Amino acid sequence: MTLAGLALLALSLPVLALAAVRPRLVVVLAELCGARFRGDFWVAVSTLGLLAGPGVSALGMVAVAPRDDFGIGVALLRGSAGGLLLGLVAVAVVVLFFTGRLAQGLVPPAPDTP
Amino acid sequence: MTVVMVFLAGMGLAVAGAAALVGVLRPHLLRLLDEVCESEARAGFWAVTSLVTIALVTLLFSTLTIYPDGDPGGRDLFFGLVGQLRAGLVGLLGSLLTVAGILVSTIRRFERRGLPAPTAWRPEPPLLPMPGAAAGAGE
Repeated sequence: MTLAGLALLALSLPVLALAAVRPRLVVVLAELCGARFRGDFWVAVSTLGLLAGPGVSALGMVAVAPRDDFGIGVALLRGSAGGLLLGLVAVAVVVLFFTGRLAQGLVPPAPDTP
Repeated sequence: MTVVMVFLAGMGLAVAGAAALVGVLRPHLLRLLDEVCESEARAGFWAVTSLVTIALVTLLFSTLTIYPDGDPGGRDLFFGLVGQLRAGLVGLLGSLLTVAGILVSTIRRFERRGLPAPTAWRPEPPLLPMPGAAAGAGE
């Protein structure tokens, strides 16, 4: 019961963070990439990273956790939060990279623009 | 109360503190970022990223406390809870200071971008006419 509850909490963390960040990420990447379809690709990559990163990190923490339900649950939670934090930093780096390209005028216009 | 209940209560209190701080900070941060980022979309993204990061770091720090093994007594649980809250607050303050530091450096860059370009130095003309030049003008 303890393990299931803490695992559910660990699983819900990336989902909640994605629900908060994703709508803004869609808008900002469409603006920075010059076209919605280009931004959508990076949004998909970021979404996968923000879901897979915490998962990998959480499972990695379980390997070194104490062998009781509470210890494993806490390790799952800790790993999920840590992985999510690293994922957010990676997404921020992606946005900074595209902001720099936009400032240098390196972003081509959308193909359907006259 | 079991260790799990105390742990969850400590984590909940720390996250509630972070949520209160996020609620207070959000409108001011949005207004500031709107000006600095020069785009509403970018401001919205950075505001959400900063606030989620503050909440996550608080949660992460509040899970770092180690409770005693076995069946700890009320005193052990209390000091475990205090340690957990302390760790959560350290995470909250650390992430807040980091966000503030990044914001200060961004504002500095923004202000430098807004200043006019520096011009080459040129000697200023004298305020009073030179005595020799005035005598020459009189002759």
